[in-house]
Amino acid sequence: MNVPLEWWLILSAVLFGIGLIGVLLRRNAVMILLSVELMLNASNLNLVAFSRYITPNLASGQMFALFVMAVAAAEVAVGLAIILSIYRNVRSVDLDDFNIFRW
Amino acid sequence: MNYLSIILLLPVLSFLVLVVFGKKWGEKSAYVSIGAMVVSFALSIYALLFVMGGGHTEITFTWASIGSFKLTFGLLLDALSAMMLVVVTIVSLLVQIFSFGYMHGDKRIGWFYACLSMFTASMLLLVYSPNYVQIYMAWEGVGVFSYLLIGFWFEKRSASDAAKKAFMVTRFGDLGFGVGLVLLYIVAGTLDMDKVFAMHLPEATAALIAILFFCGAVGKSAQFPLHVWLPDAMEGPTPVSALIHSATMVAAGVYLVARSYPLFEMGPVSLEVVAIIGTITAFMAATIALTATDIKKVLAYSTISQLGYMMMGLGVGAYAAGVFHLMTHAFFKPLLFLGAGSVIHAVHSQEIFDMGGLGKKMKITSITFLIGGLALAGIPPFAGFWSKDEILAGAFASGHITIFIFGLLTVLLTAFYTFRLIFIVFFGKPRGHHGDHAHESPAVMSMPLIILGFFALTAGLIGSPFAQNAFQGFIAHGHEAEAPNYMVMGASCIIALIGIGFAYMKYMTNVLPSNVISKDNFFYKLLVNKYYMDEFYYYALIVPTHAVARAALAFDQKVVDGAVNGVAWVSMQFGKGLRHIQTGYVQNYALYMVIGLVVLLIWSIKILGLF
Amino acid sequence: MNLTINWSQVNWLALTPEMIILGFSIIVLLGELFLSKTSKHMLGAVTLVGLVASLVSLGYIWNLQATEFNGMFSVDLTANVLKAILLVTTALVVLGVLKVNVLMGEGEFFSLLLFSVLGTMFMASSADLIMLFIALELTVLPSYILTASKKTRQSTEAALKYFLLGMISSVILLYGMTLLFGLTGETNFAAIAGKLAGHPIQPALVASMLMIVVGLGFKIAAVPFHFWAPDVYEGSPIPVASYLAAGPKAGGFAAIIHLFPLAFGVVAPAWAGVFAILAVASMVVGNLVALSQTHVRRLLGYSAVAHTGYLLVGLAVATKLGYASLIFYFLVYSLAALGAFLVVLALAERGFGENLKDFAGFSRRAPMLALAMAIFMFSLVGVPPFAGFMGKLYLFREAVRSDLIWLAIVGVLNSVISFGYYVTVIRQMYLVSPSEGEAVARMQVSKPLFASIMIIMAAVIVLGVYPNAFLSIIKL
Repeated sequence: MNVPLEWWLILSAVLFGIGLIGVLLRRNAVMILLSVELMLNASNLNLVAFSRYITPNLASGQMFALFVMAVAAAEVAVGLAIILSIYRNVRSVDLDDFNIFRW
Repeated sequence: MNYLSIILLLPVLSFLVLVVFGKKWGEKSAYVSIGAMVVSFALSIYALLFVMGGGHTEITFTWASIGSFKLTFGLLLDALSAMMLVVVTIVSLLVQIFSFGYMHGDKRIGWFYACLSMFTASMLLLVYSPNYVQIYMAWEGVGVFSYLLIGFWFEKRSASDAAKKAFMVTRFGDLGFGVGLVLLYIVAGTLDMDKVFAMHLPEATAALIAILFFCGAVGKSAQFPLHVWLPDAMEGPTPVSALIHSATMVAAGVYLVARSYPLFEMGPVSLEVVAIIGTITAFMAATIALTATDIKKVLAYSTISQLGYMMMGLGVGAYAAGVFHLMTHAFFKPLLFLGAGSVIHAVHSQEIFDMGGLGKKMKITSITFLIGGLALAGIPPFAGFWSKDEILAGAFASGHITIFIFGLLTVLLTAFYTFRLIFIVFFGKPRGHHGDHAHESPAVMSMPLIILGFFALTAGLIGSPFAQNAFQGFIAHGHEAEAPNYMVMGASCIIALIGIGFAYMKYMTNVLPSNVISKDNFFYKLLVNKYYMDEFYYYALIVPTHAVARAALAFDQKVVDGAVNGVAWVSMQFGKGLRHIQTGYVQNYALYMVIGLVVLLIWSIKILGLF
Repeated sequence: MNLTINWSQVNWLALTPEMIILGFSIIVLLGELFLSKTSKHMLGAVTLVGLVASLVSLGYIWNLQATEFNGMFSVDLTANVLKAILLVTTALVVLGVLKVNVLMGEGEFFSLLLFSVLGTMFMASSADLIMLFIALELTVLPSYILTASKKTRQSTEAALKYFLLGMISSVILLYGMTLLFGLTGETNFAAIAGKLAGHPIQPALVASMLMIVVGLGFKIAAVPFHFWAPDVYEGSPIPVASYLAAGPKAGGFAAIIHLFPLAFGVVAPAWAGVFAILAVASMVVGNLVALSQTHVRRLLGYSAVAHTGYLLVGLAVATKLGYASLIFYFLVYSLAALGAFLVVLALAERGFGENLKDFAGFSRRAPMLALAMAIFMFSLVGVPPFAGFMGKLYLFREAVRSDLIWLAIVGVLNSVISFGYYVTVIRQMYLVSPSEGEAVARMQVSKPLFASIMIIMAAVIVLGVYPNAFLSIIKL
């Protein structure tokens, strides 16, 4: 186990970047939700890695990651409910169709 | 509780009561408001006597404090504020009594009286102020109630437009006032007047702050180039014009300059600005008044012109004279407005060419109006003569010869347009059928006219050389009154009479009235030949005046209005452009957020010098 | 972080306001489950009782200074004042909607409202990154659901935008937090400050700070993180919009006041400057765009953005008095904004639209409500003698004292611009008659809603005429 901390951080940053690009480019609401999940996991990876390398004797980073997972689950539940609800109105989950509020 | 606060609180109380019960009580609302004003007026007289006996009161209490910063609210009673107290309360009282007749039958009379009460309260608060924050607050307060009262008949589109215009234009000036306040606070660290005046601010700074304050005064007192709102404000009920747009609120700008006089003296350049703006205003408004045919518009332009005189007086260093004119004007101008109101009430028109020969039908109105007109034209011994003459003498004595000459020219114009109005409305034969059923207004309307007429006749005497300039000595301890300059007096008096003569010849007769101007050969020759006279009128007076008036009007409409509207338009266009960043596409928003993050990141790293 | 907590040493007194809200939210939720349809309307009153009880207990611990749960939860005057503002405004919302159809089960609506309030209260008291993140999520998740609760196209679309942007900003915030954790190995604000002190500033710290600015900037609707605000204010059900307009921002401001000066003390010039930039951007964008709005709630949404700008001036000043002025202005603003939303609610309840033209003749339909609305507008502009004037006076004065004169001038100029759209509302109410010659009948308003608006109007006047009444309570 001699993987240096930087590798984890780079992986996390790449994940975060992929997620961000997904958020900005995908048109499907569900895909955006997934992209955000990717970014959340990048954060979790950061937390766990830092916890392992910087404060090996404490568990606070890992605790943080656990809480983030719980929050992420709640967010997905709410998000899917909202997407379902708008699908009932518009029959679409394409963000380009949701454009009644402007200016 | 001090009696000074009662003067202030009674109208506030009347406002609160009338807001709740005004609708239910209808015309009975007037009793509450008038009753409160009677008591306030009586107490104001007491306050004036107290100050004349050498008294001086200042009450303060802390109103808000945060950290070391304290905002205080106070009542300052000195000569200037005592005089203003009496003027405001008596004019308000008389106008409210007059309104009882004038507004008879209006459905929302309760609200009308509520507004009048609260306007008076705001004005009193302004007069009392020992610090600039309070002045600013009261300043906005009178603006709000002026807005509500101009737009009182909001069903008329012109009235609601005029109300908005008045509010917007005055706020334009207030912007300068506000910036001046901030600047003063930065420089002086306090907004209490006595503390500010005791300081020695650098000359340039003081001048800048004073000029910024003067911007506020230019808006409120309808000085050039922000005078455009006042003629429009005549859309309000006539008693409102009498109270707010002649005697009190428009005088607030003059009052501000008078109050801040020590500050203006610290930066003398500012006084030059005041004098020049005042002179331009006085002359320009008088020329416009020559051509106006709406009785209230004539009076409105004359108000602007007279306010210009006051500013001129303050600007040339004749402090007491400027304040004196403020006081006399506050009597004779409401008199003219209420007289006009009485006429409008009788003939149901505001066009002077719908009127004529009303003198016989409305004796009290016409006599009091004549008194007001003589006071305005500056004929001794009426009130306006003494104060206006002091201002001219002050301009002459301080070496402002150009200003003095324009002042004299304005006297000529003033006398002319005033008597043009009087001759057309009250003399000659009736025009049209508007005046067929005209009759004298009820006592509730004519009584205030008589009282104001009395003051218009006598109020000037307390500041005349016959009374050893008692008023000036009272109001301005440090500023000695000018020794009476009989040359100036004579000149202005003669010029006023010439103006009246011109008006008489133009509007009353076709033959030369030789007795009027027989003393002056130059004018005599000019006027012998009627044809020659007409030409003279036409080419020397009417044509240039029309041109000036038209140019002034065009300047109003194109440049001044344009600038005000322009600022609003530009903001609106920016807004219209900017709103398009809200595209409706959620991913654009996300992108903006990310871009915002990146920009801020670059900026922060630069600020911290990390790279 | 020490994960073991000695429960017997926890000073539960410090948490009573939160515990009361938690208890009542569960009670209300159970009420939704078990009460019969006819008796559910009591739940609003129950919620009101809970909010007032929490407020009373907050008064009881007003001056308490305590830190509980190993430094995760801290109570101080700033937190208490902001919680009190939150509770008061939420109570006024609940009072206002007592007789209003909230479009979903009363129990669901009020318990979600209480959960969101609870999250905001925890946010105001959080002294730890973990706590802050969870509290933030607890605040916004119920808000998403409440926004969607009308289930129409507008409501769901606003909710979706709110939700997506909220999630993105949350995850950016979280990433910033992880960086901060990585730099220090700590999650507690004070401990982070201790670790950072004396070390050279790393770019990662700046990045972390700005990512947290994004998350909290979203919460308080600062430009360019404000895009959700106009949509949500326009699209969500009016009771929800009223709540969102007033209370929840308290959490964001409290978190910033607690976190930035402490944990990011070493990069203070950067974040103070960032807040100044955001302040100007928010003021300018909010006010200028509001000028051309015709939908009243959307207009109020942009006005809210502009007011966030004014409030950010207090953060840019970054002094104790600056924060104090911010808190005072926050109270003043949220009261006036809430009042305006409740007036819109009163109109909508009688079937009127929400465009500016629907306000025509309002002064004759409901004179008292029109007067109240006019006062709210004047207060938002900052016209004396109403509360907004005093609030702006304090804020801009602090800016001047801290050599941010230019910021004060921008603020004053913006107030002048804002006059343009607020006066349009007043003009519609007082000077324009309804078009189609329709009869102008007196409008009926439910008593609790009317009472709520009147209370707010009184407060706006009192705070403007005698602000010391409030300032002495909050000891500023």
